[in-house]
Amino acid sequence: MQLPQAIERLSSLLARLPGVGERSAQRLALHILKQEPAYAEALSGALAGLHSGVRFCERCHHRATANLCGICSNPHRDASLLCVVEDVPDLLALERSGEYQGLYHVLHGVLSPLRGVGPRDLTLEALVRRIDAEAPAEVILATSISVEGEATASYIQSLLRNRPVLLTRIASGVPQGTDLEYLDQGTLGRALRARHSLLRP
Amino acid sequence: MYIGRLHAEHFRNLDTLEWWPHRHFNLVTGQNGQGKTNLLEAISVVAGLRSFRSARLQDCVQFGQERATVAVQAERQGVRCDLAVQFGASARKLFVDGKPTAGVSTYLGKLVAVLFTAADLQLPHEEPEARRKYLDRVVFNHEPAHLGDLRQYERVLASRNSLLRQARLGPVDPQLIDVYDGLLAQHGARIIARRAAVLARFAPVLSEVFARIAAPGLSAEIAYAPRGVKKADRDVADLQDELLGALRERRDRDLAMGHTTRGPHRDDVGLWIGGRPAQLHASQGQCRALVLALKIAEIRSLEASLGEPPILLMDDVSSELDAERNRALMTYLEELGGQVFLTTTDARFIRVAAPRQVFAVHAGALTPGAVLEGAAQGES
Ligand SMILES: [Zn+2]
Repeated sequence: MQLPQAIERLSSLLARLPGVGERSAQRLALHILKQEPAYAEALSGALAGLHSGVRFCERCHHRATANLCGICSNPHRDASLLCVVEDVPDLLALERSGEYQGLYHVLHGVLSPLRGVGPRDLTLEALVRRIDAEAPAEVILATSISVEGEATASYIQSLLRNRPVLLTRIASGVPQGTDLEYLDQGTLGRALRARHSLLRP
Repeated sequence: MYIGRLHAEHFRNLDTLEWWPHRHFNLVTGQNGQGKTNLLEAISVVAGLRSFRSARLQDCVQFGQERATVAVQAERQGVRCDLAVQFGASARKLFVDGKPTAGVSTYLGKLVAVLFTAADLQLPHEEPEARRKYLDRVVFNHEPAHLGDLRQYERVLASRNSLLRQARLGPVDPQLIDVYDGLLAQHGARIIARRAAVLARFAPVLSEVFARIAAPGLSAEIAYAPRGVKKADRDVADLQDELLGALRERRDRDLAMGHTTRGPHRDDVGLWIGGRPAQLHASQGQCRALVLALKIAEIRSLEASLGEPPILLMDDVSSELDAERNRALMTYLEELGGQVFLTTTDARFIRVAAPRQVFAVHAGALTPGAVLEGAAQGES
């Protein structure tokens, strides 16, 4: 073994993170070792408290510390607008754009038969219940402009077919296959403003 | 358009390459396995971001290396353009005029290369997939956006097929299959419309070229044979409706088969000689004349849309053609006046009188030879 086991153990765990290869995981582990011991302790404390300190918002499924997230519990947000996003980074991107004052619904994924993700793996049932209960005026489908994102938007459209709600889709001027979180704020703002209404089939 | 300089690093077995090819004919000679086809492959990768030998670009990276680079200094309509692609284990990187670019659409179309290999000569006898690929290459050469549509269609198709197979194991919401039917019809209709439109422009050119190189009185036709709609030369919206109807109608059957039985992924291209299907009734010589005509027609229609001849890559074709077809091909290439790259095990196979240079490839290293003009040696 090239390195002491404690370092190997940490780097093999770090290497499971997205975008982190084996070599950069080793570099990170060695870097942590080089800092004051207090840093490693703080890091491990933060990791240990992560799951117990975070839960899902029971309304929109965003990450939250209480039953409701900061957005859902904010009385100044416009409850007549509901924006459906794939995941938390997309919500954060829309928040950064500063263009949106409504509420969200986080699906925690997209439909993908190829990866075995079906309707039950997403928060779709909760979405339908919520729309029935809250009756927003408009539901904006802001899933990505990719095959999976389009399929998800189209499926939601069929789930909501008989409900009296305006359904809109963010503009497809967004390049194919782009995740919202990688769009610059101007582009995202434009895509949101230029959303179009989906015709009922 | 032509390539003024080509640089390749860690590409297959090639040594780090700095190549200043000849403006017209480049005769690349060498024994099999020395790397002459790799040179053509490098050009087709930097031009079209696809290899004609592997599905994955990664396979072109030299053994033991992380990434390969191919860069060209090209000239199009008298304007210089630098293109470079880097690929390997990490994400592919594209550069146009030295600047990184994320979009494939700004990259593709700047350098257009047409490939002709000995395997193409089998086209009339291949499975429909080979003719479909040929057609898509022709379409892509005219309209680069076709590639993106094909990729998306393939993804929707794979998703639908996966869903059909899942339905065998347990219940699947029919509304979910409807979603993929809708997307398949939407993307599929665009593909059908493009194939039909490009082929409509292309078919008369083929017939004319064939008449010039084949025996007098013999005619050839190419016809689109779609497998999802009855007639392809219609509005995209109409095609979409019809394809959607066909998918719905075939739903039960598709569920039983576990895959999608209608759509442009099943299309074929009919090749006809003297009013009869070429693969059934034509002689080998007639079939080869037809493929030659297909290639020449492809180059000509591409030349018309580009405003100048594309770059031609010919991998070991001459040894497969008889003397007469070879002469027809070389005469045509000389008339065309574009930049041509030909590989051959023996330069004497290539009877060309135009200005040319011979390059020898041995064990991945390229050695430039003399620039020649006038009739080839040994020609009667
Ligand atoms: Zn919330």
